[in-house]
Amino acid sequence: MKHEQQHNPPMKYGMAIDLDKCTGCGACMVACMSENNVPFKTDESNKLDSITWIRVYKLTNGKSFPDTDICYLPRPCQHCEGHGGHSPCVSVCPATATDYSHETGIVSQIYTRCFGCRYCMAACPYHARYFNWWDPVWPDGMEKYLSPNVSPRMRGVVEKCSFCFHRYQQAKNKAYLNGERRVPEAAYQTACTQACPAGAIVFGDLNNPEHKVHQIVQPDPHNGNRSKNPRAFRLLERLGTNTKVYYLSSREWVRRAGDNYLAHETTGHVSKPHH
Amino acid sequence: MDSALIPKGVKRCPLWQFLLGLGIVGVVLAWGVYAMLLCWFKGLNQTNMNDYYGFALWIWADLAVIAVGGGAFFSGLLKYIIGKDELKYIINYAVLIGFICYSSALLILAIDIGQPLRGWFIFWHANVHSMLTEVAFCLSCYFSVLTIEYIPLILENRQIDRVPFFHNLSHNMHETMAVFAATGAFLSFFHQGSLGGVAGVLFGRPFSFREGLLIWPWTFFLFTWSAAAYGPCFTLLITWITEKVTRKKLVKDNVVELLAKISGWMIFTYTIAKIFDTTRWANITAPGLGQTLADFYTGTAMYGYWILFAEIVLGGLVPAIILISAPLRKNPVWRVTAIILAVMGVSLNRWVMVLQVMAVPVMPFDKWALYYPSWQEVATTILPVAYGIILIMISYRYLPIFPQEAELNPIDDEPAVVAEINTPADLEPAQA
Amino acid sequence: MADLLLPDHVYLERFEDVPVTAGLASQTIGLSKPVVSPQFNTRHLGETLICLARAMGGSLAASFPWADYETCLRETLAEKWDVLMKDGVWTAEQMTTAGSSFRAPALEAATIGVEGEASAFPLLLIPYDSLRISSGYIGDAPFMIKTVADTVIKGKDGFVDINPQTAAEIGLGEGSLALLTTPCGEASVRVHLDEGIMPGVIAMAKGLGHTAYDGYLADKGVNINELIGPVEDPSSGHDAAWGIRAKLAKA
Repeated sequence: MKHEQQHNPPMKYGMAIDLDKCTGCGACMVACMSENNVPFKTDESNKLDSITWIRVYKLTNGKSFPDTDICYLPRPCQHCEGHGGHSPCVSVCPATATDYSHETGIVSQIYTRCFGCRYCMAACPYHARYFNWWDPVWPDGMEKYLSPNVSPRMRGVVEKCSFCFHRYQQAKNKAYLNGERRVPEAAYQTACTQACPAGAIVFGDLNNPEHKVHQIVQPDPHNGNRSKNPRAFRLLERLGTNTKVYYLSSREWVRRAGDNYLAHETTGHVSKPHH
Repeated sequence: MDSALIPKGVKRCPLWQFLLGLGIVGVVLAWGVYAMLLCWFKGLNQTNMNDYYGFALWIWADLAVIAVGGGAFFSGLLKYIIGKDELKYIINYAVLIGFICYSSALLILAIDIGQPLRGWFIFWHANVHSMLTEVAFCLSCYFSVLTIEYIPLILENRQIDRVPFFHNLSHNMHETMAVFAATGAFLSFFHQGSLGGVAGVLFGRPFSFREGLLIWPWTFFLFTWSAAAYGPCFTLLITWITEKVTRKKLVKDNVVELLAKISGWMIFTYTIAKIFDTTRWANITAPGLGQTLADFYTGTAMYGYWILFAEIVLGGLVPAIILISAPLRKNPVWRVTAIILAVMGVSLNRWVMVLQVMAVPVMPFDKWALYYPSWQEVATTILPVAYGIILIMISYRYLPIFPQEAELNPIDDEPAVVAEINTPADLEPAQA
Repeated sequence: MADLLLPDHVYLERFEDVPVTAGLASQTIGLSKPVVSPQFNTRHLGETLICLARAMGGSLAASFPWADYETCLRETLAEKWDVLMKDGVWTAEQMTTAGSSFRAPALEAATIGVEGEASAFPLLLIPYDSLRISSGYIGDAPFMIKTVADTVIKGKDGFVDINPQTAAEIGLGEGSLALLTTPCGEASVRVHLDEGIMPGVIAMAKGLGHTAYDGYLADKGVNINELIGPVEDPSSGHDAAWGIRAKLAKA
């Protein structure tokens, strides 16, 4: 196995989410929570303490009726690479409870090592990280639905989207047993990708030219992995977080809503950050 | 009853009064302990923190007590390394206040983490790139140094000092105190600095992110400098409060004025640096990340431009100028006003670097998040204050904290101790 | 009231053919298959009917000759069964329509008026279907209700969407509590300012205000059906309920 890994170029799992296709139905959120044993409380209307690894935001163009346009934006963990794996959260965790994998590009979270200081949450501008303020409690009988492949989290630790990492592990084992060198594209897909009825989410290896996500995004490694697709943008790209979730839209106002711009700046063209 | 424990040549209030005082503060302490136990047993759902406010009142309290507790390392540095010998008359108290501040910080951290039983992971699974790791290591080490600095003071208690071993131990520890003072200053430099780094490294948050100057981020220097600058003000503030409560002069004016003057110059230089920092950040750093001052200070009524003014002018330039100016510094009213403004200024800076960081939205479609603490958070934050008061009461009563007290408050006749026991009615009004 | 309750399997526990009733050019049938074994002491409705028929005997029993419901499905779906088992869906190759002309007598009928006087009820309340709220009798499951925005339900309070301009006229701000009155009833609601909604119109999600089931669903929001009444479509006689005149006042 080790031998094979050395010969495999590193992967970089990522997503392309077409916001012009997203209907805001929330199926990705439900699929994700169900897949990943995310707990729920009787009242989840306080969104500041409601765990949703992928959250669908509703954006508007700010114009009044009848010129109002809306856009739904699903936000999983962006799996920032930063500069060489220096993602905002990984670099600050004092106990190495979250890590950037150079093999898959996935930012992991080790629940049993996290001691709940929440520094990573302070560091994440996407609010992709959630704290278990409460003990997870499932109604009687409902614990039967829990996935045995994902460990439930205890009170007092941080959790977040893992790109369904357990599915990667299973696919990797299967590929190994089948004698395949690499995990096939279809063998590893996230729950949200599969649940999206509009097919708005495309998931795969951004490094692999055969993968659809690579073809859509066309990441430019010489330009900080920015997309060469004119429809594509990343959230808060200019912060240098170097995320692996790309968004697509033909609407200029949607692309502009993906980052902070000074009044005179044109969408998609910004100066380099100072760090 | 406990007169045998009270240092020679000074007068203390009757025991019942002391115990009554302890009892009253003890009730507050018990309230804080109750809240602390709630947080430990029921979890952090007892707080009003949320996923936007992972850092809140507690982290502010931590940063603030460590900043104002900086008086201990800086006074030690001034006395033992730089050789400001007059400061020996206030160094004991500076050490005690530092000890209280740092033990409080550690206690608050122990309540603040979601899995307190795993607190040791920060040492065991240490991520050397994390500012918090550096904070934890230096904080723990420096707390040990403060304990070592506090021990000789305890050994000076009249009864303990009678034991030859303790007497000699105390003497020897005093002899080597310069080493510990140097170690303390070294450790403080790093943990104060890394506490500054905690907010400065957040490159996902343009409000707190800062660039590097020799060290990235330069908030490292700002925090170290401000702790050294403002810490002595807190020492002076607590000394002043103690003098008011005990109705005695405990430290001579020349000592207070020396520390106030040094603090004034430090605050002045710090504020100049802070103004440079703010200017660069407002004009280059933040706009480079797409955000402007208007984004940071006009989104909500609470975090308006007033906060910049309050921190830099009211809590920076004003106290600095008062403390630098000799006539103003020598006037107790001006001096105390400046000291209070300074302590508020540094506390406000720490608030801004924790709470406002959390409040400002970064994603353009995100909203401001405001927060107010729950009673459990308030009680656990007051808990260390009550604990500090109790430790000061006990230390003041039984240990020779203030070397100049006996000289400044002469007792008329030596056999007063005997008289006290026989005729309590003749006592002076209650003290301490 | 029923004397006998015969609990059925839920859709995850049973075979079921699901014909698409409208909207597609060709006849389409889906098949749902059991993915978990029944969790409670329940029985497939089809199975129950077969058993009942067998017990009653005679021609009734003869009309239900299958051993169990799965056999019934397989035999009645005949050649479609294999396709359904393989693909999950079957679509007719070609479809002939009854005719090529389209007649809609309703187009000539008078416009249906909405209930309520405009003078007393200046606003128009429209129920809307939210993709995240099931407006059927079952209601949202916990994960689904968790996806509902805090501008639709907050705690127990339900919201109406309102144009900021209309809200300003009434003196309401984002999240304000208001009393919503219609000719059919009244309810306490919160308002959510939405630029996208037409001034003078307010909208409320369908499928909330359940009294049944558990704490994850019950008592959240307002049941809009209690605020709107039936309006008869004169051409078809069907209920054309789609809105009602309403009034909002500061609470």
